[in-house]
Amino acid sequence: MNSIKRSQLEDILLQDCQLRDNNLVLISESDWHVDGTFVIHSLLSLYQKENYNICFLAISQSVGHYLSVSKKIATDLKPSIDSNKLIMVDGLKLLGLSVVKDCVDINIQSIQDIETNFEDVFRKNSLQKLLDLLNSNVDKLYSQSNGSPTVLMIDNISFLLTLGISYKDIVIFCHSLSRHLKETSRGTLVMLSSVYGEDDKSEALTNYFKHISSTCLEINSLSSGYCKDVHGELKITRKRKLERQKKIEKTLQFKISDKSIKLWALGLSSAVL
Amino acid sequence: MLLDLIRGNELSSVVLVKDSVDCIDASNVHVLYNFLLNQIQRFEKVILLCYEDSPESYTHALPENIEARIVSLDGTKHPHTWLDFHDFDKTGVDGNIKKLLEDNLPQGNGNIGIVIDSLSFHLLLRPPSFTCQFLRKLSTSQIKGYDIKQIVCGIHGDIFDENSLRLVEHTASSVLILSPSQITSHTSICSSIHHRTSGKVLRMNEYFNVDENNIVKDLREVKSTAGTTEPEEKSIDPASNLTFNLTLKESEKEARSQLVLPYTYDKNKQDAALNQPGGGKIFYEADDVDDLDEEDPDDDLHI
Repeated sequence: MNSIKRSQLEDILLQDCQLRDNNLVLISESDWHVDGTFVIHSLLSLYQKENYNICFLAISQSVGHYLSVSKKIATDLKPSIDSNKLIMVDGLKLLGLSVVKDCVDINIQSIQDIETNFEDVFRKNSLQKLLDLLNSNVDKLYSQSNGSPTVLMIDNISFLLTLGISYKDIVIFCHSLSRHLKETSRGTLVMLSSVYGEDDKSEALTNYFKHISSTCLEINSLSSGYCKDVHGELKITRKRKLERQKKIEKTLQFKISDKSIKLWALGLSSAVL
Repeated sequence: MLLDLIRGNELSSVVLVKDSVDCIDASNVHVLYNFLLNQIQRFEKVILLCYEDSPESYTHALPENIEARIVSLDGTKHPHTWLDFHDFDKTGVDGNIKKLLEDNLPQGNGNIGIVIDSLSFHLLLRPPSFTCQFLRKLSTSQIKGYDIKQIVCGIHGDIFDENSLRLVEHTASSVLILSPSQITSHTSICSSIHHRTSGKVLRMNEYFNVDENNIVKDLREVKSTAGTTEPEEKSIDPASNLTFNLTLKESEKEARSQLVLPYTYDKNKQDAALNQPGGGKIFYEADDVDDLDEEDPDDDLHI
């Protein structure tokens, strides 16, 4: 069921990012013009192939979106969900429900009854309950696994800024999550973060994550503007730390097509050669 | 300057190390590690207080015999208590550091050094002035009989606003700013600003490398390339290239140099003016309308 065949991007992620040796992987979109979600989809399918336990918090897209995209790139997520190796937290839907609950016009009992951990996020700007939910999911996954590593993926962390949560709370939230993961299961936290134009806070948030991450995958748009053959640049950085003597800094260009992603070294696109 | 500070040749009570996202080869972690290694040789005990990553990330890399002299305090244990907090005292990211140290140090005497891996959480959770106060107080206090001789802190330059950073930098007696270098022989540059107790301020830019054992070496001063001053612009003679003649003949130039201006200081003229013998006399002829009275109007006053 899980094919061992990996795509080019998945190979690169596995080798250059040294997937097993990470506490925090940051995928950062450096501006409006690029979309870094293809990395999230590839990582999700890669983790599934490597038999990881995954908890996925989807805020910027609905769960259905991820399921349909991964079906397209030839891995089916449904079996993993059924066998409890993958827990999808539908943040988008639950947030929406929290907002709607307050509306005077809507009085559907089924909605009123839904207890969501997202209510506090929306009403009190508090991430405490969400943190508890994610930590308990990670514990659940770890307890029923048999030695396979755990990963917690969040798409997209900067979204919480736009909801009105303070920058300091988001930093502490991520800090707590990565600490919990490290302690319980030596797991990995994968986050997608964006820099929204001139917004200082989103830039500061992304910079903070870059400082504490073990691997940073930065998606940049081409400085010369739009090109139909080259959609952007992917920069993989692994900083030099005390226990790691060699740094890795690699830049590749990519093109996203309907079913696959092509990558090549700078300037060597097939359109140019 | 960097090595002098690390080795203690230059004394500094509060050292701030600042890096940025671009520092891939050498960041705060490496410089703080060097300070840690050297402080152990100079001081009785060294306290390692970590917030961003557990202290093991530093102590793993240390040689074994040294580990016993380090008191590691793990500030990463309860970050979830910082969420939504309203009660500052429960958190551990505050002035209760002193209490935390007292709880973990045995009584003794001598000098100790403190290495704090990152002030990020202090600056995030507290107003910057609080961090400055806390640093200042800690640098001059005594704990359980030990004197705190040096505090070294790391900070990230690109996640806080300018104002907070400047306040904290001002509190430090030395600031080391790390950045990547553009040349191939060295990976990084350290710009240091050191305030000696005598009042002298020393600034230096140095290239450096970090070797496989995480030791800072190969220091070399950055020589600025813009050394020569531009030659003075030749003054343009405005009287050339005109359709009429503005130049002077030699005789005219000489006459001009001999001219004495009316208010030029000349001793003779001044003496003559000051010592004039005669006063001025006024001759007045009365009109028909004038009522001239020769008598002295104040005559009847008896003063």
